[in-house]
Amino acid sequence: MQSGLPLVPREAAVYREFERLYHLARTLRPTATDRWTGDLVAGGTESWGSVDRKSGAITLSAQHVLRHLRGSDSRGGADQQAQALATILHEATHAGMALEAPTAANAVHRNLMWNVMEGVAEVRAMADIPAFAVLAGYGELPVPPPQYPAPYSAIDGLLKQASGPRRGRGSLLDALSRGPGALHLDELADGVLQNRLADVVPVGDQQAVRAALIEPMLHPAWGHIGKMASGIGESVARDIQIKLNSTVDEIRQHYRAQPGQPFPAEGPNAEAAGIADGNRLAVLPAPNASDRVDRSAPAAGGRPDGSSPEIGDQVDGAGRGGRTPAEGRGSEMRFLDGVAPAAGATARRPSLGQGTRGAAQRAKGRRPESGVERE
Amino acid sequence: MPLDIAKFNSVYTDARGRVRREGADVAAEQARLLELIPDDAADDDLRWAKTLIASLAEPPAPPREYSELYHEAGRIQAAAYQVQGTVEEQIEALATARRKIWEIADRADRDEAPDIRAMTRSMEHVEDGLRNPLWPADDQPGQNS
Repeated sequence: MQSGLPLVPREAAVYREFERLYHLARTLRPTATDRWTGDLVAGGTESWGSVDRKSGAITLSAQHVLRHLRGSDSRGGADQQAQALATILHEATHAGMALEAPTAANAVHRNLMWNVMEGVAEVRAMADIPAFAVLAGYGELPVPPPQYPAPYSAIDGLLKQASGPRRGRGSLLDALSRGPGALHLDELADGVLQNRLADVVPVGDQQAVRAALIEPMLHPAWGHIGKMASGIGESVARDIQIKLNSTVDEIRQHYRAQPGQPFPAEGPNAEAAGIADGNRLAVLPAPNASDRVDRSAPAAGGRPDGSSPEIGDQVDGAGRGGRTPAEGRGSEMRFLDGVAPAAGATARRPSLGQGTRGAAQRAKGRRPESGVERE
Repeated sequence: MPLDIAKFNSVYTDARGRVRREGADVAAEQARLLELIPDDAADDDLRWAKTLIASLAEPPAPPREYSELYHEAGRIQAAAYQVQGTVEEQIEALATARRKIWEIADRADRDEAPDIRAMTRSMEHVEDGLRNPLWPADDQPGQNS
């Protein structure tokens, strides 16, 4: 977790609302892995969001994400809400998968995979924003421009190449969202295999054939396209398509000429060479109970260890001058302290503000929760 | 039986892709999705599913036209990304560019400011990648190139 940034108390309404949205994001694309440990950090004004690889905490900008989590907003602000929900979907996708797959033969453990993972998370975020916003009671929000332009365009192009009648874009996005990140290219290779080569490749040869299909996907530009425009990503996808088509033809010709001979290819993860194809799914990390949030009983009483800085621990908070933590931060951030109304993490309606599914009617005549920003 | 949200979302993703990218028949795609809704679906689920089904018939929003401020922010982002040098120099260039983009967003119209600010979302992750590469032993370039 980034030092000096405050944890959002788990009893705060905005914490409950984020937890609800996080759960709904995982409902849209279920995954057994959950790297979020339940700590939500209120990020600064010049940030958006991140998942801490070591602590498992999620940091979201208080100003640009958290404060907009209040359901359908009749006062405008749809663009801000769309960006806030896109950030949550992107970070929830990262948190929903392991990064490495140490024993999988087709895992790629190279830094270029970072851009592949960013592309996958952003494609998933953009794909699911309309369904997510309506599901969560935020109404029909505009789909914002994708960020990570080149990785986004490259993954979008690869999805187009890997999709087909046997494995569609939806199925591939489901699997990519489950991760691990190191197996993203293996999953896309499986799409190509299932849609274009399933009639010739024996089941026992599939891991090796996927390895052969991964090779043309390892475009050298992956290492630096995180910093480039969308046109570069489209070029990368086109380059890969030419090589991929050639590899598909080569594989097809091989099995036509030598139907009993396995296609010669080695997986990119030399350390795991020899893993049988049937073990591919078995090597995916099992859900780790200690890493998961107990959705059936969301924590209501703050952190168990009490060691990390809470909002009120800030030097400009209650520690000086006897002000409340909210006053110490100014009215802008008061919503962070608001106590949540009774609502489970699985609720379909926003716990803050007005949802499109009747929250406005329910809120009529009710006094706003203490400290919840209602501007 | 409750609506299978994940399955519906996955099939909806396919349907939207076929409609938008391949010009598939909207009514046929809508009919396929309707078949996934159980007779006793909860009201909330029913409304959600029908909203998505109806959205297939809507034309995609036209590309948004942005002001010069948006494009100025884009140029600042691109220039920062092109900076070569040490990791520290690249981080500094990105941090400086992010601050400039935030300032530009503060001057932009209310409708446009969020999209300008959002340019810094990826820059933030690139900075993180420079500071903490996923596989430090890997000599291939990644975020830290």
